[in-house]
Amino acid sequence: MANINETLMTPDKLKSNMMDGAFGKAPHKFYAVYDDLMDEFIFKLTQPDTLVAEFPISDSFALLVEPTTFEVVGFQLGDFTKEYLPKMEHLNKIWDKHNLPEVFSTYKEVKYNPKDMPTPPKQESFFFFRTEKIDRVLATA
Amino acid sequence: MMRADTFMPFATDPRGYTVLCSERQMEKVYAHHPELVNFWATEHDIKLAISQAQFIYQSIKGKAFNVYYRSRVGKNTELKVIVKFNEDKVGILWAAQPSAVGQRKPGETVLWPILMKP
Repeated sequence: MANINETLMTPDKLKSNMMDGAFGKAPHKFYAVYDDLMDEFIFKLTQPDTLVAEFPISDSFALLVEPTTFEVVGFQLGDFTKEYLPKMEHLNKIWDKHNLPEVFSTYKEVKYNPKDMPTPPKQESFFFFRTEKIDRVLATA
Repeated sequence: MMRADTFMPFATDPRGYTVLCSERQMEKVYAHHPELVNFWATEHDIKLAISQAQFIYQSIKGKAFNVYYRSRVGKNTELKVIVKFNEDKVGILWAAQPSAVGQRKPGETVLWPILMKP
């Protein structure tokens, strides 16, 4: 019988193989949805119905983790329109104009191709580096 | 037949607070978290997470939001359910998703069970 400590999801056991490759040089798809009730934007590299568990990192940021492999396959941004959107200039401009809350009210498949992306500004933060890119992908969705 | 947007009694939590839900609201919950299906989390499971919650927390989103947690046997995940209450302690099902066991958002505080200091 497995030791309970071996099966519990803890930060040291999380793997980021998929996220490390995400938004890099290879074109790929990802899936996104906006939860207007919770004001959360959710990004997944796996199919939307793939089982993932929320792993909170801060009060407004959580990783989405595949519970058997502990692989991080996405993330969830809370207080999206209050906290994150004002920081993402491109997305902020088109958010209401293109009615994105309605467009993303159910999961949408988004194609990411780095060739279509302008060079992102250098960001020290892992997280903001990625959201800057996501912002551009969504702007072209 | 219940109208899709009619809120009906859904569950009563361990404190006696009533939670309402409508068909449309439930559809939204599953649309935002379709992984619930692969978590085998049916409406009945969501109901159980409220009525037989192991923990109820005050959400960081504000006093109106309560967070219910109920673990699943044999899985390292638990079902997390968020309910928004009014001042009359009547709530509406707001969200549900699988969550890593024991992992809480910083700032969430336990509302139930009330723990006594020895």
